[in-house]
Amino acid sequence: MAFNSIEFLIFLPVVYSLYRLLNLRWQNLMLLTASYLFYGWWDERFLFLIVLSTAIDYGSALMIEEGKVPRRARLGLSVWVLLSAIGFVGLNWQGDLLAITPQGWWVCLGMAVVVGLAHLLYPMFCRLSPSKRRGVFLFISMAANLTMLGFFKYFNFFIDSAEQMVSTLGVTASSLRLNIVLPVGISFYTFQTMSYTIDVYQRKMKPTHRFLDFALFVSFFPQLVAGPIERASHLLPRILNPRTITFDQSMRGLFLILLGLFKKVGVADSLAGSVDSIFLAGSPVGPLDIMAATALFAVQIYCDFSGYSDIARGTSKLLGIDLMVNFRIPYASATPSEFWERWHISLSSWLRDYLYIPLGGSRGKPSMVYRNLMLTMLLGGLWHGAAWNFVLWGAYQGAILCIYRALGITQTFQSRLGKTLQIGFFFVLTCYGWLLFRAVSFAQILDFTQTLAMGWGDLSLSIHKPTLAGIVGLMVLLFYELCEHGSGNTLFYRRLPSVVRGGLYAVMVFVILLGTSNAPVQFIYFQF
Amino acid sequence: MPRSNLSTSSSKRRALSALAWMVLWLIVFDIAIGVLFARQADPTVRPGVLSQYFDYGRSIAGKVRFMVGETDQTTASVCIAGWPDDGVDRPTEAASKDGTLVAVYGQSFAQRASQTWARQNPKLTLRIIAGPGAPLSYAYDRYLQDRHNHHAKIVVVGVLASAIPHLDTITAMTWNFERPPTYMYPRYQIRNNQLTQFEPPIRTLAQFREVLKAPLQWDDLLQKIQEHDGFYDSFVFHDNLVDRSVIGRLIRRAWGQRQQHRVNARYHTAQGYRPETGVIQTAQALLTEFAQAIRNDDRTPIILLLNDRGFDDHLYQEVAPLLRQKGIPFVSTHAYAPAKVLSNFLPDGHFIPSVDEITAQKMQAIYEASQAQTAYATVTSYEHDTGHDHSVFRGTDADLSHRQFGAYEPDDPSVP
Repeated sequence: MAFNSIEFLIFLPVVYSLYRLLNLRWQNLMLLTASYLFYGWWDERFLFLIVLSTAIDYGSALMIEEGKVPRRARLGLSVWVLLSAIGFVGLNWQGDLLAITPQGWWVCLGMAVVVGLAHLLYPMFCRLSPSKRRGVFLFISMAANLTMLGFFKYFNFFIDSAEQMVSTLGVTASSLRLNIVLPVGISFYTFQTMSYTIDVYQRKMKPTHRFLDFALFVSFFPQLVAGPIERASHLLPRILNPRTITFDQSMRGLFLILLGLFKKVGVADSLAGSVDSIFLAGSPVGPLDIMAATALFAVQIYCDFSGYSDIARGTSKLLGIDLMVNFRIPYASATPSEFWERWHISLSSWLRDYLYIPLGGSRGKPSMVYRNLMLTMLLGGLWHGAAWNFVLWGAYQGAILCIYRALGITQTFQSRLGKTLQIGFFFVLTCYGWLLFRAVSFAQILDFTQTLAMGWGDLSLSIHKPTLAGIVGLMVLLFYELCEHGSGNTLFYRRLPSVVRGGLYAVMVFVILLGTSNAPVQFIYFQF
Repeated sequence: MPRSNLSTSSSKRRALSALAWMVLWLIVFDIAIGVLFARQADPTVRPGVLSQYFDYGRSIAGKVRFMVGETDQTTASVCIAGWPDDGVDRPTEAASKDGTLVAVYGQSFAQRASQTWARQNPKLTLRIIAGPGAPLSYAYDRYLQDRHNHHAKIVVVGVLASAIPHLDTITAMTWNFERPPTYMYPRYQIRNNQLTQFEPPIRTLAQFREVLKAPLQWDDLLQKIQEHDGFYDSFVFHDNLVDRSVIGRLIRRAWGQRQQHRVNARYHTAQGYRPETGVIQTAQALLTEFAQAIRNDDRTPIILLLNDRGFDDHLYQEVAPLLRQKGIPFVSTHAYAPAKVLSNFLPDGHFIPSVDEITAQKMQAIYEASQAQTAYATVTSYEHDTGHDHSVFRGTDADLSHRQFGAYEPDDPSVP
């Protein structure tokens, strides 16, 4: 179920009303059910992956810290996994419920074998020395999560790449490509659950015994499919403990939902057609077209993704749970390191804490630091999608970070003009990165780059004009972000006189209505 | 009163006051835009871009009542298009003695390609019968009504990929609600392996005008549309107070867009048409019957498979094997104008002129082959004294026809 769908418009008030009526225990149970419904709306089979991931990480964390999983919990986990396998994969919800497919049977049978093996091996695991056991279960958790992610997201990518490589050597490889459907948001919840096991392993937090609450932490619907990627140490305590919902919180939540819908429906979706008209043109286009489409894509992807994060935060705030801020006006960045402190903060901080720092971070020789930066950004690029242009985008971001670091440009200029020029220059660099990100093929990257470098003979403009919602929305967004940046306060709008504040809300509602009357577009980050 | 309570109540007051202002502002926007971009009084004059934009969400009934006047002179052209009594005088013979009359049935896509063909080959005279975005059922029905009215040697049938789901409809009003054409056509379905037909409740624009004036008949018409049209949605169709508000109309347009999206998704996904809906089977049966009817009239059919945006080559994949098997000559746009490549399309969704040029060249090639075929068939019939002219286009000669026309498929590099 997407935030910009009519279904969600019904779903949220129902969930909110039930939530207000229940106590903590039932609130969490209801939220877990709602989260599964929210996610299963796309495809109920994907739910099995979440259940599996939840069970593995819950058990692994307990084994890492305590060396045992209580008998009742073990039984509960086994039943949970097997029932989920039957319910979500075995049964055919699209047609005859009991017409179980052969693949469904195999999954159920496979799970029964895995569960049986886990029970058989359990006494042996308990006898391991604590340090060995901790390592083994960290490995099990990482391997299970990364295998799921790798299989569903990267299997075909690696097979295709290997085939291409082999074919360049003149060998014909038979295709092993599988018809795999990418589960929505798998990269987000996989990283979130991995952080839990790692934090327990690093003794940054204690594992929880409350399985259903942990399941809610993994599948909490506002941030399940496109983040923010929450840390267990931040989100889990909010799930485990009673929440209070204040009027201010609710108003802020509603405003964030409004802002998010404004960005997504009003701006991002309204610019999509213009961007596509160049990137999907399939024929030669001029440099002005490429520049315009890339700049519009910069706005589109920002509004699409930060809009989602705003709605996620707003929805969660309505439920009394604060999620982390994921964007802080990223295009006001003057340096790459500042950009990554403002763009997709939950991912960049995850990569910093669980990849960059363990690799050595900024310690050691410059060459090692550059290596760490490049590796982190390359993997960050690959996290976005199974395609070489994302890897290239990651490499480009890594290279910019290294170059700025090598040149010693880590601070913004003091003068206003200098700072503006610095921001403008960095925006151009960012936009080229978006060109790599949005391009449909390597050939297009080469073609567009060549045109930008040498194709200035053709100054025609064939890009489709943005819709009315896009134009009005873009102006309002610019005004809003300038005010926020200028005031340095995300709550600046609350200080406005009621008449102006009401006007701002009204314009946003109106732009959403204008945007809603265009064809709906899926959130870009769902594919990641 | 404690200080915190004071600040909470003041914050509440400010928030509620801002919400009240928001509502007021929205009312102001609604009225101001309604006045500034009101629709013009004359339905035959094309409205300004913004007036039209803010009017897209008006109910279908509301728009139709405004756009359909007492006479053709007071009716918007979009509401006249597609009806048999559209007032257009069409040729029944070729303009010159050595010329050829080509009858075209379909929609603007087929019309544009055929007009390009006629520009390339001045010996052609076109008799075009088209409805905006019309589905195959419309084209077939109109051919059956029109077949004895002319002496065309060639019949071009435009099949639009995006209109395949519309085989489950009886009027263009339901699936083109933003600026609705009003024409109606039968709905065909396969039942017990037979092509069955549901006759549309209205056949002419004159009848439509009458019904529009009679509330009971109008309700009866809506009832029939609701029963037999898969794209019908009552919120989008019925006129009510929502029509009077700009914001209401924007909401209705949003609803209509999503409704269409949902209904379309029932028929078509990124992988292709959903077989369980039966529209592809209907399309295949219609094409077979259509081609047979054309051949029975001693004419050459040319099927244009127009793979438009969002439909990849799905239409080609579904019907090309059948057309090959039956030896029905066809041109498919997917090979030289892939639907995924946006530069093949104008912003309004039609193919760019250079694509129409290629389509026209391919139709010309089929035409020339049919001429050669006719000569060959005449010789054959003379030699074998069969007495059946043009037999090459029928029955057992389908294989020959298939071989001949098979060379004109777009993926064949030998074709210009």
